[in-house]
Amino acid sequence: MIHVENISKSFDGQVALQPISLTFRRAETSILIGPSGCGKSTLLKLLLGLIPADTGRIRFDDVELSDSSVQQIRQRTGYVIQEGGLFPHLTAKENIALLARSIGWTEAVISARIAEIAKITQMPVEKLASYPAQLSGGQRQRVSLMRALMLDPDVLLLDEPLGALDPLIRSELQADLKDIFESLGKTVVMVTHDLAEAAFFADEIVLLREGQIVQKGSFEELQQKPADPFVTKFFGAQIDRVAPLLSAPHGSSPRSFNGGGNS
Amino acid sequence: MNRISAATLTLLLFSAVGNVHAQEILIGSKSDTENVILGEIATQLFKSNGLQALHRSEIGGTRILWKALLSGDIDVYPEYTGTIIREILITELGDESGSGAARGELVDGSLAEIEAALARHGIGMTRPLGFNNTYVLGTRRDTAEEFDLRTITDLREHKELRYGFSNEFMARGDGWPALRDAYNLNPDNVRGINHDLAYRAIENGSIDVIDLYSTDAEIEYYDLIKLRDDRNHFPDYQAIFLYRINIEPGARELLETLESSISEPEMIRMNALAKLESVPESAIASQFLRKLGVVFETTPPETWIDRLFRNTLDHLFLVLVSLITAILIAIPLGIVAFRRPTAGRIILGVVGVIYTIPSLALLVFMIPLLGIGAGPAIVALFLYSLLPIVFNTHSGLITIPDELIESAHALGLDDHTRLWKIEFPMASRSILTGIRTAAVMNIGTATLGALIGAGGYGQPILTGIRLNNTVLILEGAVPAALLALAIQLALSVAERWIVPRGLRLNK
Repeated sequence: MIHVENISKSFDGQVALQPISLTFRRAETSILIGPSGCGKSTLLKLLLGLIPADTGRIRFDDVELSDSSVQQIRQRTGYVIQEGGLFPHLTAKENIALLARSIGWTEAVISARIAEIAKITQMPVEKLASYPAQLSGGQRQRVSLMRALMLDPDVLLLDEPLGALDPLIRSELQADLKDIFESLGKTVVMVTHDLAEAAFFADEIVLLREGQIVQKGSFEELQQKPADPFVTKFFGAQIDRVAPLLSAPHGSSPRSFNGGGNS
Repeated sequence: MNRISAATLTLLLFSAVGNVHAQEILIGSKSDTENVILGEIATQLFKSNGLQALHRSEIGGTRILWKALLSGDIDVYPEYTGTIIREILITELGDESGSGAARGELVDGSLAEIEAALARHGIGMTRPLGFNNTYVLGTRRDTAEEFDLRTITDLREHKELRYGFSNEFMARGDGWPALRDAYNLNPDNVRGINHDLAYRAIENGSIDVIDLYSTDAEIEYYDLIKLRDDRNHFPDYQAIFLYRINIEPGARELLETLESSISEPEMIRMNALAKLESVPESAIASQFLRKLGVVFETTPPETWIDRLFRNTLDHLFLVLVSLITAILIAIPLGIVAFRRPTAGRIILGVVGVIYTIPSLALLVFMIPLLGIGAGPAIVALFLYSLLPIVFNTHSGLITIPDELIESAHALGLDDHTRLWKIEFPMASRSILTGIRTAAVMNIGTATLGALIGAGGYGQPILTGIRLNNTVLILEGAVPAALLALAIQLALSVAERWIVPRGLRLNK
């Protein structure tokens, strides 16, 4: 689905991403994880052309990311960031409908689609007339997700979408998100620094460190066959928080976790 | 959109009014009382003989009037022969005949010479009106007695005396620099001051020596001593009218009927009526013309309500046209500055530099390009209004949080939608603040427009300063302040419509 070939990026001589290549497979959820400054958010922004790459190329199926294709690719990709990135001067509904209106959808089609995705994201419809400042943190993220889903994109890119939420709201939304990803069959790339979240969502985990891929694979592969001492160390630091999450399900089908407590 | 069409309407309306007056003779006058009275006399003389005439009074100093005459902004104005020889022909035209005349020849010869030099520029000159209004230096009687001053030469012994000269005198070819050289004067303290304020300053002892026009009524009123020009530095300043040679038929002959009709005591008396007894210049002029046998049904003098209404229209015209144009240009400039940082630095730099040009200087710079009146004033006000709007548009856009700009890009919105749906509304409050600053500043600065004949609330302020009339000054200052408040109020109401509700919520 998304093919990354030899992509690299530096900011003012500071290397953010070494040349890396990888593929995000269709209808799978890939998690980019690693400590701060490992290049995971940079990679996500490169995928959307929000910053230009120094080297390499990116393809969405057969379409290469370029100046001429970038707008089309963005419209076929949903993007959700930590604080939601909602426009404060527009109501929730206006935020969600913004792109559809600009490309000429009729109001009837827009309303029908909003009703549909409100149901999917479990967002109370009556709240959609509110401005972002009048919504709770969790509601804002649901609106942000609705905005990302509006045009029914093939791909969802999420940059720490739950990072700013308190734990209760967070676990509730985690479960809902996972349902949505699986039921809609989206190709999902999600950035997090939280191993528990990674374990909960991931078909594949890509562990990054200082702009390089340390290891990629399923949670079990990384945990049981670490490619590098850093992997063991990274897992060791967080594993206590992962175990309870995985053994106390909130949502649909939490992954079984065999081998907890080996740290 | 509504405001734009309103502006267009205003423009059309005013240009239509302008056309109605196309056949009028335009009489100009300088910003001193005598010149205004003479201008009024000429105007009423024309009207009483069935010609259309309009007096554009108090337009400025010699250079402004002369340029306006050359460019056809006015057709006639009162001038003095000495000023033509020493100031206009030398500094403005660089004319050989001027420098020849400046050496001082027979009066008859130089009048013909002056006429010939002026004719080459399409300008005619009437015969002398009958009085000489020369420059003199004056002091208070007690100062003259204390320092034993009788002639200008006597000043050389007293460097400590404080001089206050009219701003025009400070810079003129026949003014202070030449006088200083002719008498070898070297005082410690010389400053420029408005001529009408100089009388008040010398009366209260802030200055000791001022330049006087010999027909000023205040000389007697303040009991000032004229210091004799013992080296004959100042030439004759015979009052005459200058006119464009292509002036309406008959106008020239009418002006010539005024030859030798105004004696020096008569002129001093008329000046005294205006300045000391607050008789309107128009009434003084018609009284004078009646004595000459000119029968003329004078229109009743303008009431203060009429005047206020006219000044308000003039002022609003200056402010609205310059402000609306500035809004239409400055907002796009602010957007360009935001989207293209390199061009942005140049734009912000240039509007910043324009803003630092003193307003009086900018107004005068405009005269050679645009003549006198509303045109140059509007351009100057427009230029000043750019800075607050450009800066606030730019800063309103640049302070939109990065993640929102990024979100707009990530959504795949096109440029147009991003600008109109995201960037503009989010910057709207800041842009409005810029417009509000520009409007208030514009209303204040527009009062200076009266200095170059643009009218508005500055006109009564100028006249009030000239006639030492506080009520007249307030007639300009109070409505200007009220207008500024009204515009502020209107814009804060507009803010509720324009700034999106979501941005006005308290988080």
